[in-house]
Amino acid sequence: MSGAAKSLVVAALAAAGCAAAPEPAAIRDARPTRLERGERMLVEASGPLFTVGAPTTVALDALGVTLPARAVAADRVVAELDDEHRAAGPTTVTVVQATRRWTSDARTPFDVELCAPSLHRLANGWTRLRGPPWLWLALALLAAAALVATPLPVLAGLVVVWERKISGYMGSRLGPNRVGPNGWLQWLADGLKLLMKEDVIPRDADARLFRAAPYLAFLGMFLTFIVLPFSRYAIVADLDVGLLFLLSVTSLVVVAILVGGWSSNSKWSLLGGMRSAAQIVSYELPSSVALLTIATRTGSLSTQRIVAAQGGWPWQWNLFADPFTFVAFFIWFVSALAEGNRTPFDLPEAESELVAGYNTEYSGFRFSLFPLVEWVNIAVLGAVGTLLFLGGWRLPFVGAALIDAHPWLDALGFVAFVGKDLAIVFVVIWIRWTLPRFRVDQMMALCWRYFIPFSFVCFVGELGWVWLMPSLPARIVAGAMFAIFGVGCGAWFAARVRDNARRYRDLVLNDALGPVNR
Amino acid sequence: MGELIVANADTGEEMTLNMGPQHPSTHGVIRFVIRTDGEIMREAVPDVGYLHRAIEHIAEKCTYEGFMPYTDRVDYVCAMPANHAWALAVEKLAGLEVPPRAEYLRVVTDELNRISSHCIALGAMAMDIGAITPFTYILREREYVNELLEMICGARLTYNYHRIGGVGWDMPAGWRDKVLAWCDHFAPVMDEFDRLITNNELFVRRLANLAVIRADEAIDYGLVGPNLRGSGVDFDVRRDVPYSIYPKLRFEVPVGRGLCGSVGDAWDRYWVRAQEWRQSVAMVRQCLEQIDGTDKQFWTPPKKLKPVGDAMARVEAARGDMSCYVVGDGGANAYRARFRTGSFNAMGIIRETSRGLMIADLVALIASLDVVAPEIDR
Repeated sequence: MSGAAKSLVVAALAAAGCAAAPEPAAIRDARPTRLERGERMLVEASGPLFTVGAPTTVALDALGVTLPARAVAADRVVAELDDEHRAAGPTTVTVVQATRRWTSDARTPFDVELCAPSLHRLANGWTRLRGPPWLWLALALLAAAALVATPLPVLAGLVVVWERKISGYMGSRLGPNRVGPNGWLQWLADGLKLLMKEDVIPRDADARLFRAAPYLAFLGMFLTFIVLPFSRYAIVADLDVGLLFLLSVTSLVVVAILVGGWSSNSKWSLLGGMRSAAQIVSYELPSSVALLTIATRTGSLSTQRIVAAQGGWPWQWNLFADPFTFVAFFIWFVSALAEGNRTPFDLPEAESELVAGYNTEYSGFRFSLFPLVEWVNIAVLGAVGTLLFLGGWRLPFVGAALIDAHPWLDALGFVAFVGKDLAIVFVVIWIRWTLPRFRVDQMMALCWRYFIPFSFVCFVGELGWVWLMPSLPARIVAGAMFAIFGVGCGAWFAARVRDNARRYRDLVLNDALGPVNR
Repeated sequence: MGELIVANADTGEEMTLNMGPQHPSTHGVIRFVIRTDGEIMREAVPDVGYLHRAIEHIAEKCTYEGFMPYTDRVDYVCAMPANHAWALAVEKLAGLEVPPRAEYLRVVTDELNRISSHCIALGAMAMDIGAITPFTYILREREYVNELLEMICGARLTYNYHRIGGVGWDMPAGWRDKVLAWCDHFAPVMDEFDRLITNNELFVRRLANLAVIRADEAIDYGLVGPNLRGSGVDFDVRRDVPYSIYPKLRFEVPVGRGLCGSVGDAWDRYWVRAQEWRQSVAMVRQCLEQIDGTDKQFWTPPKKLKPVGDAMARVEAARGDMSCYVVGDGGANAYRARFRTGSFNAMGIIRETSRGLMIADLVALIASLDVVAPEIDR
């Protein structure tokens, strides 16, 4: 910022939407004092005056202009300055108009800039109820936490059962089929069993860290759900730094694994923890750079905007957008496998080498948190892949405007998102039950020799592509990529899978001996 | 053991790791003391004896016939050749004749058991490298073999099928067709297994050029069986020191050729076993063809078995040359009996070979040598 203009902005405010005539109110704070283009100005009133999310207007008295603004809380509006209306000196701000759109009560106690419109609606509806606002706030927060937290163990449980069933079919076994309908409640039995186990803390372990590690892992996994856009409305917070946030919080898991491995005071745990640290830190580089490729393409780190930049049809996905994003997808996918400690990168808990790796000494509930995190992370991996490369919740023919008009269509987007997510989860499980494990040196060589250089090539190539490629040829390339890789290779791959599945069936049948299970 | 641990405790650079007996890859009965610098091993010292049950001493305490069930426990993964070795040694000692049908049945059961043992060896090796599906996949085949062996002798693991002077039972009605049908079924399974894991890129990369044992080293350390042949030494007891009806069978002896790396690496030892499957299936087929012409007699029980002197029998078990040496002093019990087994020698070479490997490779090395704890300790 240059220039000297600074002073407290004083303004008269009118609470919009009230039936009464606009009446002035004291401005407590307006930041920043000097505004650049594109910068946001926050105007804070002394009392609750606005309807959250409702559009307002901010009048800058000194310049004689009005700007569109948005109420972010009952006593706060945010306005955005454009180029020509740059404030050069002390400015007076007046809010002259605000229209109410979603609710009738302006006294919204939430500071809910983070919430999606649907949550606003929900929250504002609740405040019509009688009682102190803080009570409703607390209840709403608790309900939101329960809403988000409850599905996680269920999600992990279902992924576990799914994985065990797939592995069973792949290994010519049955898999879980006793607890609940067709074995689908096996995760409950497993979880209950683990809860009832004794919580053993080794005598020479660093007890405080040992206890903390599982929660750290849980936290790192849990926080990612804040920015995952399951549909147009089903997102907790559409952060501007969504991708960065995602990368940051998933790194917490490695801290947990390292802490867990080190504090156990067991050599096997230590080896597992060290392997994990080396592995995750290394593979975060190619995976982050691969994500940057997408950020470059979209021009935003916000997860919703990345989804919005793609289309409902497969050839509008980032996956087929250009050669660089296509390569970036595979680099990201393999790196994500490594970050999630999945085969062929499951070295931190390689059971044939390190007993159980970093969680060797854990038992009971503390132990159960690690697999829980691991399996939810698979779902998170699938979700990130879906939103970045596979078009997220976008559907053909169902655009954002249509969803806004008919909110029930949002459920379709949710189904699309979860479907794509599960497809990726299936591939991850499939890989696990097919491939052997890398050795430590091979795993590191793969990352540093191949993935990191290639991911940077992708990133730089994407920069050039976005700058230089005209729109029409780019669209033709995308179509051609979809035709070649999506349809051509997809069909070839499906044919191979069908062929192998048929061979396998032929091998299982053996009428001459009769069934083995007598 | 003790001195190794004390000498290297807390020197800062190196870490002493205790691997086993409670370790998933040592199967509860083998122990290694490992000196490592991070992931790289300085040395892995095997500590044997966790499954020692004095089987050879038991041989002195019970009759020649009565000892047969104990030979099952010499190598419970591949018990038939141990039966065979004991029967052969006592027959040599007492100068007994064995009916031809019994010889064929012995070889058929030996080879079927070799197949099932290699199923365990290769499947467990794949699992130690981290691939779990091949293990369950090939264990299904082992299940079929167990079925077949159960049909002929009533047991699935410790068979007690061979007798001194023959075998316990003739094959049941329809058994021959079932075995042949299974052989037809197993041929494509072996190819499928190769597609699934043997030629898997990751698997080959893990095992090629790993823990190379040169031919002279292998001979010096007394390696036998697939481990010896994996190092490129063309020696097989069945062909070079023939016994039973092996001279009448046509078979090849697969020898490690370094197809993916160098001769004698872990992949070669794996590959030799995979090829032995095919040879064993061929031998089973030939035996079942030739057995038709034989007399119905399958056992001539010896009378008054009180031999004097000593005798040595060598058979090719799944883990190589299993020799049985027995001394008789005219009593109903052996004066002395001794088994020479492949796994014990294989354990001996681990300390030398493990230097400079990574921890993950030690698991691959143990698996590639296919050591079985009861065979080490007896």
